[in-house]
Amino acid sequence: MDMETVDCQGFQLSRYAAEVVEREGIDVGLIKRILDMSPRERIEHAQETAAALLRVMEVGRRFRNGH
Amino acid sequence: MDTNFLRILRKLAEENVEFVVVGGIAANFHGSALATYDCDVVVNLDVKNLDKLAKALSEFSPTFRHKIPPQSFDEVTAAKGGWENIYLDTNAGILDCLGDIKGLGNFHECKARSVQADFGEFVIRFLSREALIVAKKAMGRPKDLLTVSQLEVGGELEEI
Repeated sequence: MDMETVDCQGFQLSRYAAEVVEREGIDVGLIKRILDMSPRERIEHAQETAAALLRVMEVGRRFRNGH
Repeated sequence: MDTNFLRILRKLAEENVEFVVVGGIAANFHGSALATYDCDVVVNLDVKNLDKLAKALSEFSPTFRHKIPPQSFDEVTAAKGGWENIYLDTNAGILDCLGDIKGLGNFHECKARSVQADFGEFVIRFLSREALIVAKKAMGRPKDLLTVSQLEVGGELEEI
């Protein structure tokens, strides 16, 4: 099926996907980098991201509590 | 507590537990960059598989997440049957073992719409991107719809 594509953050995506990216503020390059990883790397990357976010949230919590 | 979902999933695969990874971890497998703090799997809830599940999880000290005081999930409790979902805390992270996925159905229906990923020493089944989109749309929470967006973009990127 022919699909009209547009440039979106350096990638050729359908107009629909480009609108989704714009609306949701998606980092297309990050998703592409994840898809280029092996299955193991994808899961490990996800867990490292979650762990880093938890650490940031913990620092925020301590800051709010004056510790 | 350090989460290590891959350790849990590897053990389930090695012990031949019938399961399919769904939820946020499956979305991460399909390219989603959204963080998730638990691991959702749909499991075959028959007695034999639940026995294998309990044995496989024993090294992770699983306890029911919503029971006070904490109660272990082991072969004895697994054998009681009547499960719909099993929500667990383990020493490798939160593990939700689901009997049914909204919009898709039970383990067998999810397995039919799953893909197999090779991790070298073991293989794991993940819900396909298309099926995950169906499930996430059926859930319909804001975070699910955000995941749908990432999965749709990922689907196009994988064609490039």
